[in-house]
Formats: sequence, structure tokens, C-alpha cells
Amino acid sequence: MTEVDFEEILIAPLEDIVKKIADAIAYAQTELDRSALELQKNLKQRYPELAELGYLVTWYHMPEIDVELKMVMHYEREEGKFRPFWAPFNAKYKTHFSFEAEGTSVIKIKIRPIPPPVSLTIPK
Amino acid sequence: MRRKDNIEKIIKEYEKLKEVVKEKDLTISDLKKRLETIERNLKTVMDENTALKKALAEREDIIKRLLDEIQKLKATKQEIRAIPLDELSETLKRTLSSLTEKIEKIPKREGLRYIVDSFVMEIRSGIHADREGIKLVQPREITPEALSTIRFSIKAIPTIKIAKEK
Repeated sequence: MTEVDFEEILIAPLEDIVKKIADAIAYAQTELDRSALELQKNLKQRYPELAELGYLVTWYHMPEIDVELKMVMHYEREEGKFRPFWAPFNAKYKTHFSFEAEGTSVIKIKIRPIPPPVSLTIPK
Repeated sequence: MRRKDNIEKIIKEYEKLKEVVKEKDLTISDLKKRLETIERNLKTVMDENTALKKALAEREDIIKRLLDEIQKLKATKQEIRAIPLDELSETLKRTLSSLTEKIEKIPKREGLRYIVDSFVMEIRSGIHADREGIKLVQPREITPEALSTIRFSIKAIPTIKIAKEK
């Protein structure tokens, strides 16, 4: 039997896995903003004439984030009772557990930006 | 004359005996051949016997291992790895709340804020029913064709804030 690095078939609660993904998304958007800010600063330093004209660098944002995770559910004992834990379905998992792709669960997450809630005023 | 007759008689006797000896020689040769065949067959049978003994020992080992395995399975049969359906909705709740909490941290610009627009959880699991109700069984223990599918789909709807009357 092949040696398995259990980090590669990590089994964790779903909230922990999803939290890491959300963290990565937040980090990506923060970095995009930071990069735009840096560019704006550089523009002011290197091309002050353009900055004076009000030239703004392009800011990027993610209009939609689609995440699709293929996972396998495990029931592991925790504090006396079984709880669902999840493992990403990958080549290592497939080989080690001889598990077929048809048996995997799918988690689909769509994240997108929305404008602030519209405020309605009821006239008298 | 009598002596001559005797000699002839002896010669005849001798010829007869020669024939008998020749016949016996043939019989002995035939018997030798048969003995060789029997010895060869015996060797084959003995070889087969050794091979069968070896195979038997191997089978006995397999049977022993299978019996051990049955014992282990009997022991684990008492403890089916299963969770009640409620546990799944708890997972969904915890996942959504932790996801929303993290999404809130994405930088906002021009009043735009990120939300979880939709969340779909398509679970492939085995089903087990007992006195306590329906439970989900470890998918790894069942063939993929026998797995059931449970699909949770959650969609965000925009909200309208209604201000107080002026």
C-alpha cells in the first residue's frame, strides 16, 4: 500500500474548509484594491501632470465568485457522537480509498456584490 | 540307438526350456515397463499431493484471515457510522454563518458589499433507517450506485428597508 500524506486528504468540518476559501477571496480582493492604490500613488509621484488632470487608475473588483467543491463526507466520532467531516476528493484520496468520483458530494457557492439595501419612505 | 534318443529328448527339452525362458524374459521386461510407469505415476501423484497440501495450507490461512475479518466486522456492526439528518442542517447553518462572517471582511467599495448569493450542497450518502429515524451512512462503505442524493439549495433575496413615516 502506498504511503499517504494525510495533509493531502485532510478531513475537516465543512465550516473550516469554507472559511479558508472565503478568507482567500477576501485576501484576493484586498490585494486587488491594494495594487490599485499603489498604482495611483505611483502615478502621482511619476506623472503628477496626469494626477492633476484627475486621471484615475483602473480599480478591479470580482463581480462574481463561483466555487465548486467536490468532497467526500466522513462520519467521525467527536465528543461521543458521529459528526460529518469532509475531505477534498483528489487523486490521492481516490487511490488510497478506492473511491469512485460518482460518490462525491458537491458544494457550490456563488458570492457576488450587491448594492446597499434600498430605503423606502412611505408618504403620509 | 537308445542313447541317441535320449540326446534328442534332452535337446527337445532344452529347446522347450529356452522358449519358456524367452517368454519369462518378455514377461519380466513387460513387468519392468509397467513398474516404471507405476513409479512415474506414483511420483506425479506424490507431487500433486505436495502441491495440494501447500494449497490446503494457503486456503486454511485465507479461511483464518476471513474468520478474523468476520469477527472484526461483527464487532463493528454494532457501531454503524451514521449521523442523523438534523446534524446535516446544523452543518449547513454553521457553514453559512462562518462563510457570511468571512465574506463581510471583503473590502467594500461604493457601498457594494459581497453576499453569499447562492449555496448548494449536494450530498451523496447512504441511508440507514432504525428506531431513532433516518440516518446518513458513511458513503465510503457503500458502492457509488447505491448512494442517495440530498440537495440543499439556498438563495439570497434582496431586502428593502422601510423607513419610518416622516
